[in-house]
Amino acid sequence: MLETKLQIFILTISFLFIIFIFHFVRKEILELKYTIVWIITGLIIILIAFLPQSITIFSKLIGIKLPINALFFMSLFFILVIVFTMTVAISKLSLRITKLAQEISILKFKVENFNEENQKKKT
Amino acid sequence: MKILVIIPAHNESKNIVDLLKKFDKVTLSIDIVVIDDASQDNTSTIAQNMGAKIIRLPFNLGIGGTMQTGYLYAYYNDYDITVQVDGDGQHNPGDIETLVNPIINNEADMVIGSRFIEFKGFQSSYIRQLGIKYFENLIYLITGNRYTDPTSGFRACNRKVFANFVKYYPCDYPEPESLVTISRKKLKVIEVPTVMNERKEGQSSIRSFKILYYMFKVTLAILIDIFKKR
Repeated sequence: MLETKLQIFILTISFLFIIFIFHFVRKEILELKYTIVWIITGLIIILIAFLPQSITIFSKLIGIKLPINALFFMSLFFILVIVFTMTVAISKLSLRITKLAQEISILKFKVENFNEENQKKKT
Repeated sequence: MKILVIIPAHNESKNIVDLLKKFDKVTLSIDIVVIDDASQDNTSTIAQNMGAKIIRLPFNLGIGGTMQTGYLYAYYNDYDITVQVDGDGQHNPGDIETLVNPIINNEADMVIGSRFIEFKGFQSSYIRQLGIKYFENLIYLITGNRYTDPTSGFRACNRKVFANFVKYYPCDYPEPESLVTISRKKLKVIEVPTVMNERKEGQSSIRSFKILYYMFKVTLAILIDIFKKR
């Protein structure tokens, strides 16, 4: 049901995609923790390209009439999961940045005061 | 008792001078720290020239993050009591003693200055009063206590309370939410009558569509707070 040409095309892109991610993790640009959801998505796309029947089985399993809709459902689901992990990561980051800014400002205040007091002592 | 007055200020160069002058009349022994939330004007220079201690944030954190900086400073430097006095000048430093006394006498853990007990001074617009009434009732439903001015930022906290704020303090519109958090922790919150002033310069940060966002966000935050661990 899936044309071989298309099958090869999807497989190539998915493989390139996973190699790409692997490369980034290897170069330590991306943290593995945040790429796992992408890698799993890539692997599932590869699985579907190899065994297109899996989509039909999946759609019957959860009661979707047209297999293509199961595909749309899955892609949307994965995108939502990925976006959500992003939101979690960003929220965590912003909390940490806030904390850092607070600590730095207090530290800076202390250093300035310390310097002033020292100068007073010298004169 | 070491008392720290925390003044959060964002672009308040026109209000800060009058405010700091009013502190000369305060007889209580207090330390004052102005937290400058990355103002674009010369708020921090003016305050510094007047001899105030000033902590400058590297970028804008909003009222929540600014106040939390003050609480963190108080926590690190072993203060017993903190008092928030807004940089826009609507709170009167003269009332600080009224606010702090119940804490010194161990009658409360947190004290809120309310303009709706004696109804003196600036009373806010009708629409705002309606919003405040709404929060008063929502908080009454949840905590069983009635607070007439839950959005008031004029508050004194003891160490138990601000140690909680060091751990978590909402980043925007923190007043009603933090009141519920503290009240649910079985810490005692009371109100005392205060007289507030209308801000002289600049605008309130909560206006137009932000009012709707404010109502929605704070309601949600209060409801979620019920499900947090005590």
